[in-house]
Amino acid sequence: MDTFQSLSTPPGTGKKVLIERNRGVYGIRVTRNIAHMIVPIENNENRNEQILNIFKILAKAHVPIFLVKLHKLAISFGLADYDLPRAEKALEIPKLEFVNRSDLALVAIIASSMRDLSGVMVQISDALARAGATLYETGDSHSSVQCLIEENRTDDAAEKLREAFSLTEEAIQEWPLTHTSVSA
Amino acid sequence: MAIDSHIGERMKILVQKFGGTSVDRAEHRTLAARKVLKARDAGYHPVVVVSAIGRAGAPYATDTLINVLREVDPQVSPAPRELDMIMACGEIISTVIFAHTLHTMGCQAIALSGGQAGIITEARFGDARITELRPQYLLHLLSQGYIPVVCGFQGITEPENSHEHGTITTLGRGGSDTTASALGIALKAESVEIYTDVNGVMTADPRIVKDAQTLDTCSYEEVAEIAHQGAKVVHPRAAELAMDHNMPMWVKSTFSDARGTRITNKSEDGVPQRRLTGITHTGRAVFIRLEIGNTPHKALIEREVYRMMARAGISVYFTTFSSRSLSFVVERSVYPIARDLLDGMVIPVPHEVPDELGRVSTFYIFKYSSGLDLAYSVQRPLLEAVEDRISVKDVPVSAEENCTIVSVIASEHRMEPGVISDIYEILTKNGITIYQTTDSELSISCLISESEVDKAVKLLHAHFFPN
Repeated sequence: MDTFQSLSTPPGTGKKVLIERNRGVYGIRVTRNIAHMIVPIENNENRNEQILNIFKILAKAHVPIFLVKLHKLAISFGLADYDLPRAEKALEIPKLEFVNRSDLALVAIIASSMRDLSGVMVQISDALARAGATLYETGDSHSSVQCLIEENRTDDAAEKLREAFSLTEEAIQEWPLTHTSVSA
Repeated sequence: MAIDSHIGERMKILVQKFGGTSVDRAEHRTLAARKVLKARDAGYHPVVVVSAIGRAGAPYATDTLINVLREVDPQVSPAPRELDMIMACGEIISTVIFAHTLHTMGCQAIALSGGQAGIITEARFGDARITELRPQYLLHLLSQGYIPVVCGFQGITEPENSHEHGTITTLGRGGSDTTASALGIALKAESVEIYTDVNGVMTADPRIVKDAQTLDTCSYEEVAEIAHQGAKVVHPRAAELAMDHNMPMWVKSTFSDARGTRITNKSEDGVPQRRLTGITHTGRAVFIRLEIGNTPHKALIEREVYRMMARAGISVYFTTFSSRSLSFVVERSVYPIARDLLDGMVIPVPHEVPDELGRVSTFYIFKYSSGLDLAYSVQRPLLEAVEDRISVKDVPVSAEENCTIVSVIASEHRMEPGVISDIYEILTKNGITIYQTTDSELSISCLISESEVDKAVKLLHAHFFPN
C-alpha cells in the first residue's frame, strides 16, 4: 500500500529519512453486516419532538446508531444488523412505522484532509455505478467518506474504488464492526 | 564532515515549536527563549522551530508579505514559486530574530532555513509534502553544542533536481507544526513540544466558554479530529505525522508553566479511553438542497452535480440522500461559483425508448427561487421549443447561506447509545435548528446557523463537561 513512504533508515542515525503520507485517498475499509432504517415523520411544528422521541427510544433500548440523517419527512440511520431486532421491537411499541434493510455494508474511502479534496464524491459515485451498487446513504468526515451499499456488491465496489483511486490491493481492508466501535 | 552515525541515539533531543503569537513581541520571545533555556538546563539538546512573527496584519506576518507581492500589480497573479519564496521570508525573519534573542541570553544559537535543516520536499508550491529529511547538519550542530533555530513551514526541493533544484517551497497550512513533527521524527527526539497561547488542548474555545478545561492527555486521533473540526492547537497533518511515527507530542503555553496536554497513542497504558474530548466549531458553510423528485434518473443527476462541482474545484460534504432529494454543504467562499453553476444547469438524460408521448429524452433544469434564478429564467423559455420531443423537469434548489458546524468530539460514541439524542435535545430545546448531522468514529457534527454558534458551544459544553 502506498499510504506513506517507509523509513529508509532508522531515525536519529544521521542518514536520510523519508516520512510523510501521500495526499489524497489512501485506503478503503469495508464493514459488513450493517442495517439501515428510515423512520417517517410529519413535517409539522412537532418535528423536533418526533425526532427526539425516536432517538430516545433507541437510546433506551441501547441501540447505537450512526449515519444519522435528517430528511424533510423522515430520519434515517445505520446500525449493526444484530441490533436491528432490538430497534424494531423498541420502535414497534409506540407503533412507529419504519422501513429497514439489513443486507448492507459500509465502504469507507479514507483520505488525509478529505474536505480539502474536490472530486472525490464524483469518483466514488462513478466507481459505485460501475460496480452496479446503489448508494443508500453517505456519511463524511475530514478523513473519510462512508458509503452504504448492498452487501453483495461490496467486493466489486471496493475493487472499482481501488481502481478509481489507483490504490494497491493492500489498500482494501476488512474493518469489522468492532473497529467501527459499534457494540455487540 | 565526519558525523557519528549514532550521535542522535545518545543525545536527548527536544523539539520546541513556537507559533506566531509566541514570537510576535520582544517580551514574548523572551518568555519563549526561557522555555528553551529551561529545556537545555534539564539536559536536553533543544531544536527550536518558529513560525512567522504575528498573525495577519502584523508587519512580517505571512499574509502581509503576500500582499507586498500582490500589490505590485493586483491584476497579475504572482508565480507560485515566487509566492513561496516571499512567504518563506516571514519565518526567516522570525528565526533570525529568535536565534539572536537566544544569543543575547548567552546561548550558542544558529538560525537555519528549512533547507539547511535538511527538509526536502516535492516540487509543489504552496502545499508541498516532505519527501525526505536529511538531519546530518542538525546533528552535527547539536554535537557542537549549538541550539538550532529552524524556520517552520518551509523546505527545499531536491537540490539535484534539474528543474527546481534547491528551490524554496512552503508546506501549506499548519506547516510549522509539520516541520516540528518531522524534525522530531528525523532526530529521534524525546518529544515535540508545540507552544501556543493556551494551556493545552481545551474542551472548547476559551473565548466562548470561560470555564473550558485543559485536557491532561489526548490521543493523536482525537487531537487531529479536534484540529480538523476547528480548534487551532495542533495542525492535523502534524498530529498524523507524529501518530504514524509514534512521536510523543505536547501542547503547552508559552505564557504559563501549566503542564500542558500530552498527545500520545490511545492504546498506551495510562491514557484514559476518553469518551468526550471537546466541543468545537468550524467553517462558514452553505447548505444546498436539490429537490430532484422521485425519478429513476436521480443517481445519474447526483453524479453530474458532483462532476460539475469537481470541475470547479469545489469540495462537497455533509452529503445526504433521500428518495427525492440530495443535499450537501460547500464552503461559503466558493458558494457564488456553486450557485452560478447550479442556476439553470441542465442535465439531459436520453430515454432508452421513447415515452408514451414520443419524447426521447428528459432535461432536468435547476431552478433557484424567484429572484435568484437568472440563468434559469433565460434558459427555460429556450427549452419550450423542444418540449414536444423532450420532457423538461424543474429541479428546485434552495440554500441556507449562513451555516457553521458545531461538533462533539467523542471517541467511541458509536458504543454509547444516546449521544446523538442528547445533542439533538440540547440544541433544539434551546431553539437552535439543526439542518443536518454527520458523524465519524470520533465525532458527531451538526450544521447550524452561524448566529447560534456561541450559544450551541456553551450549551453542549455545559452538558458534556459539567464542572
